Amino acid sequence: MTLAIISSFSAATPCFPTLTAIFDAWMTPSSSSLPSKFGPSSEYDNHVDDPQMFRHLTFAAIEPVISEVADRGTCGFILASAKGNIGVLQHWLDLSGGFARDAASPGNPPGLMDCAQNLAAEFGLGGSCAVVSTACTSGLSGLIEAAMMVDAGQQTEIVVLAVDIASLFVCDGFTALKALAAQACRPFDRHRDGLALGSAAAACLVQRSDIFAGKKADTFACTLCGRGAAMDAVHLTAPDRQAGGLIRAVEMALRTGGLSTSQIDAVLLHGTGTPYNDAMEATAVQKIFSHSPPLTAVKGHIGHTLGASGLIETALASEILHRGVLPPTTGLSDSQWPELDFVQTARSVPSIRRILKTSSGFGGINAAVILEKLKSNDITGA
Amino acid sequence: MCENQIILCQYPADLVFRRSDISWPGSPSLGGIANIIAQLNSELQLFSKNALLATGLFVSVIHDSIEADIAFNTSRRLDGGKYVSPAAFRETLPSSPAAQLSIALGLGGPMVVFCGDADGAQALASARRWLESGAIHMAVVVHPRSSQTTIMPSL
Repeated sequence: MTLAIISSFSAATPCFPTLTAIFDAWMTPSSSSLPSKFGPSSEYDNHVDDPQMFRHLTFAAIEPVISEVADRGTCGFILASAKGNIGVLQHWLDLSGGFARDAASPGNPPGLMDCAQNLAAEFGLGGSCAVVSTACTSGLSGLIEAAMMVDAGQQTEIVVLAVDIASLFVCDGFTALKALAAQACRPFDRHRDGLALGSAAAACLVQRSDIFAGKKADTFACTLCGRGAAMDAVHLTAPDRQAGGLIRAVEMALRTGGLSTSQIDAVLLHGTGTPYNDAMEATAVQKIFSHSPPLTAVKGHIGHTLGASGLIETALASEILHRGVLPPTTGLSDSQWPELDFVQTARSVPSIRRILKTSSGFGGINAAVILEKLKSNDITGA
Repeated sequence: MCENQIILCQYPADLVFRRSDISWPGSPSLGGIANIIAQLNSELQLFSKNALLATGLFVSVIHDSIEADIAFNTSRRLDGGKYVSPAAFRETLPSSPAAQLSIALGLGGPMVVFCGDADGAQALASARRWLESGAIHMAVVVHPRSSQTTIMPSL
């Protein structure tokens, strides 16, 4: 039995300061914030490689969640990120390589754990502190670890923060890999040609159920009723075309939740918009489900936010459960898989109870979680 | 048969996973993952392919991916970025060595990488949680050899 409750979610991007704003804009694609590869008029150009962007997004995401913590002195903290504060790292790299104009000594390289410990201290979180980094599944991995720590009785509360910034360092890398879209990110579209990078921070509070049960009646939350993760063990950058890793991750999530595929009401896919990733995910859906559940994806709206993507998209999945509406697969107009039920205009789903969220990343890492909605008065305590 | 088993693999604390000729003041000595793969290969050869596909991999790293970051940054800064290396970029993740291990060893279960976990305690604790949850039955834990006694699993 799971004891862990996700009692609070929050998120921020450079264009949208709150989770609500991100979701509302997702529902109306005409106001899409899709960044287009750091173009000259892109809002991202003003922030790229700015170390303050990391802090700005982090604080915007974490402050609403921190206010819900019952006891900061014992609350744990997990930072989930692929690259952390890339602006600080970039400056250190340029100093150490002689590429920076100032001649200061680079000193020790900035580490993700240093960043996590500084943030934990800044917010007064006195429990255990960890950094989970599993490429683009970092956010989901951090969330799963937090839930397992609470279930194991090792923490009663944990704040999970997932954050990554779309820096020029990362942009150059994806450009070299020829993975960026020429124009726009179009997940699962017949004419998709790559991903669009995005920056984001997302945070959540994982609490033991008896702590959450003390909150006022009808407070909305989720349980992580199924969790799974699996490696492809095939290739460093290309996904397994047979979708072996993703299928094992989803099957593990179903097994740990004691659920069948018919009990999944919708799926929020990773949907990067790259030809191979989307084909791999479509293969997985076809092999796992006898009938396609409603499918949607958000990276056409907010871009690929790397290590933050798993958590920000799980936060958006919780909004789907809360509001009973499925937003469209932004950027999709001509599906390559018409037999799959991709949501193309917002769809009311008032009876939705569970949603599957999947992530996949470099190195063939896959993760899957099943969120189930509940209210504080649904719980009698642990 | 493998029931709730942890296979530990320690690497010298001064070893960095990737090969690189770039270092910084006070940097540790450099090395590769070949020795780790060889050590684990000998321990895992008794297990079937299916057992390995269900085996988790839990890795602690001390220095994130700093040496690969240096190599990639150099490639993108020299000569106006004419030689930006996609091969170097894919190494710029703390999870990249773990992914290489999973591919080399055929490990297809969950993978979790903990950064700054100097004695491997977090990776080991995570492996135990996954085992005790029943999601997996075998875990490989790779962590730096610290000056302190390694915590041995007692399942």
